[in-house]
Amino acid sequence: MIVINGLTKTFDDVTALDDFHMTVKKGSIYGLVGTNGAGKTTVLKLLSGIIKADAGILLIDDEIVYENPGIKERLSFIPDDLQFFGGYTLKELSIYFSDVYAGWNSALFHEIVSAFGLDPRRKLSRFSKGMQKQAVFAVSLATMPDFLILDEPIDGLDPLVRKIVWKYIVDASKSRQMTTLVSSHNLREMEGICDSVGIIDGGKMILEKDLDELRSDIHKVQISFGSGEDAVRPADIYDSLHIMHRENRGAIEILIVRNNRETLDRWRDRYRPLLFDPIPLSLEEVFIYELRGEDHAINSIIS
Amino acid sequence: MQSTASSANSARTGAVIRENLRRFWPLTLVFFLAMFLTSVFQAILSLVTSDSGAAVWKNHILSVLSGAHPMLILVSFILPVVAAVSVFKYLNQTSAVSVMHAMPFSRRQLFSSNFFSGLILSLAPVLALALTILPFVIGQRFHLISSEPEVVGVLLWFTWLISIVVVVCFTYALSVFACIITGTTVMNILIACLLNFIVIFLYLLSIAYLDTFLLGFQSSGDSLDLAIYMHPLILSATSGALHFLQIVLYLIASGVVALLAFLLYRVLKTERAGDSVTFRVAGMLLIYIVTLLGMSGIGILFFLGFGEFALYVGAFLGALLTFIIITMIVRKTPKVFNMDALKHFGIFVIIGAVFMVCTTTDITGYEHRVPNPGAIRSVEVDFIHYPFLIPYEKYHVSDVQMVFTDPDSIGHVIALHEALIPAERRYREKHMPGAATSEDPYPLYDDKDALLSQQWSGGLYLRYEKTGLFRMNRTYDDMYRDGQFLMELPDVKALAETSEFKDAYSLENRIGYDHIANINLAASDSGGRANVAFFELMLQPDNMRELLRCMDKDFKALSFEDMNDLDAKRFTLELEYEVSYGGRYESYHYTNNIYYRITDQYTETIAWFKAHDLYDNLLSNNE
Repeated sequence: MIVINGLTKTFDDVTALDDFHMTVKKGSIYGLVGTNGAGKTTVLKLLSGIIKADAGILLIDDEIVYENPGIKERLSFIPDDLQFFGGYTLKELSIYFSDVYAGWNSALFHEIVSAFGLDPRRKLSRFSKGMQKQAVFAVSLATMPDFLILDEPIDGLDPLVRKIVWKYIVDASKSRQMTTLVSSHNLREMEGICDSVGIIDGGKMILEKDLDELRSDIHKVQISFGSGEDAVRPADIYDSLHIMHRENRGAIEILIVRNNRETLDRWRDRYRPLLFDPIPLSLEEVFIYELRGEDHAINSIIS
Repeated sequence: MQSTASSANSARTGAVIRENLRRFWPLTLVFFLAMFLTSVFQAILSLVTSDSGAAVWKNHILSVLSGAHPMLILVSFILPVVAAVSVFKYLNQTSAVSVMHAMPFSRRQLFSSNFFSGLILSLAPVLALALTILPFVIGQRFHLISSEPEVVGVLLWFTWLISIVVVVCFTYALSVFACIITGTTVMNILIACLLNFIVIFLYLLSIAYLDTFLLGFQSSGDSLDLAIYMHPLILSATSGALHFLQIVLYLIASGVVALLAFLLYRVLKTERAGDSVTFRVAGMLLIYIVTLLGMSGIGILFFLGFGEFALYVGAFLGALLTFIIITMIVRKTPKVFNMDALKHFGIFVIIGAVFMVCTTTDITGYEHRVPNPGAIRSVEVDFIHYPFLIPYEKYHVSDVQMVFTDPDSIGHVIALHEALIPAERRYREKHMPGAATSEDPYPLYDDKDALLSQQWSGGLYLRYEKTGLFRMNRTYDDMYRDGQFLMELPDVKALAETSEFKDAYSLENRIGYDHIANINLAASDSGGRANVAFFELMLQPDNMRELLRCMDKDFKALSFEDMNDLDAKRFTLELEYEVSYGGRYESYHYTNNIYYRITDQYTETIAWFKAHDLYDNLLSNNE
């Protein structure tokens, strides 16, 4: 489990993180979403023990990461820029990593390399950017980390490769409770993969939720009581609902409500509208309505 | 549990070292080959191909073991720089530094494993070269190569090896330090070079200022010797193998630098990867130091062209220009015209002003300081190219450093010293660059005797040994050209007539009777100057010794005026003598000569020539 509390980090005069909080459950896949410069990479570097926080608490399985080789052996960080490994062949890289990481899984490495169709004898600098990411992903996953930290991992990958990458991540999460933290500037990428999502903006965590919880709490509902004189309804008809957004389209009203399904069903049974049609919300819509006051943040990450 | 963690840490550290060696071993090979092919390989070839191979191989090997082999000097400096830059190159790239620091290492492990792998890479070629030399050492020891006396001994080989290891360690430690405080490869290399020699640069710069502006300042001798000690590479290249104490001190210095590098690495902000300088303080220091060098360079250039006022104008302009350029480089932006830069330039102006005041003006009263006679145990006086000693027509014999211990003599030296100070000051002001006057610096004697004019480029070096621990050194080399002034100083006369002076200049002490092989009558050129042996006197050793004693006796009886009586010359003798010089690795023997004037005052000598029926012959041949 990853726990971050009140974390602050400044670079010279720039405050990258300010009283930042985050919790990542063991075995989950967590999407950290934010615009460029929001502080995502800083969080990942702090989590990987690359940089030291100015203040606050950062614990992985109750241990401090910075200057702690024991915990760092259990995590693997894949940066977005992979130039450093350019001089290595994939085979050389695997030898180096197998020397450093006690849990190195050679079979898994070869399996992933084979799945990606990479040539282990080619220098990484000769690979395309996407292939470099695949190569480093193979090496990183073969270290059998308990915590996988990925900075913009699927940029430049084609859909088929993305699918393979996510497959291995999901498998590891299920089979050995690997915790994955993925940063992205695009919310759509996280949908369908992540268990939880955190939105970071200006160095602060502005929203952190389990996706299931988020989806079950917020609903978009089309309601109609008919038109003309038939449309009789009490004035306080919506008092029992927590309406976040209301929109009239002729005889149909569209509501975004923060209520669970049971509450909505009770409301339907009580008022018996002519039309009652709950529509699933996309993750984007959920965040749009959740972050009504954070227009900039939400617009950037869904555009 | 703890031991498991410890063994895991060791394994990881070993992995980094292995990885570095695997990646960078070709560097080591290239540098080894560069040294091997220019030294040992040539020794091998000379043994195989030359009849006189034994002597030639010895020279090749000795040139390495003396520490003066050019390729070895080059490699022992460049290789540690390259090795340090290579193993710490990951610090220059954001992604690389992230990857390395995300791996399961503490900063201590990461630093030490990279540090030691770089050290291994630096030392390996030197150790390999030492191993290739070893067969020569052993071969000579057991007369397998030649039957010559053992020159390339095991001890010499071993002390050389230790010295070169120390040189590499010292250079490497400074290079690593440079890599930690800078964030690009170019800056790594530049600062590694700069750091290795910055202390020497600054020291020599200060010496140059003091020598130019401080009257009596001794820039050669002890002051310059100190510069040689500031880097083991220079010391070993100039003096051969290092001594035990030097080895210990350089290793301690290397250790301190490495420790500082480690401490900085622990607090290194990885986000600074790619910056020219990774520590703000280091960046400012670099800016100040380079600005100081720029200020001095342009200041002195102006001074040489336009005089003392221009020095300060040039220094300010030089400082401003250099400050702007180096600030742009360090901050990687041309936008340096801001309040922060102005503040730092203001700080530098204060530092520069203090430096200039301390080095160009006599704020401590140094120039006017003369010792208290009671506090002096002895004073060594070196009349460099002493012009008032007619018997010695040329100064082929090394200049004599006379040590005066007699209190009266010391008193004369101090009085001479006091008299020189105002005269030297007047002379300097008159001949300062940019001064209006351009008087002939050698105005006093007319050309009636070109001999003296040749001797005037000299100096007076004083080295007082005090009763305490400290010495006091002074050199006066401008005023000394004014021979007339010196001749008229009563203390010069008094000193020249002391027994200590005459003993020092006697043939017995200056050359040694046993070393004189022949005495010839010397012929003179059109200017009256002796330049060639005319005929040999063919003296038996006993006779020669007798003659030399007479010459010394006459010399010791000369008054100061006699020594400078140019008109009293009868004839000139050429004295051929043997010189032996015992070098560190070889001894040298050669023949030298001096020309010695016999004047009217040499009564005993003339009597001896007459008694041996040589005098008339000498006079007639001289004519």
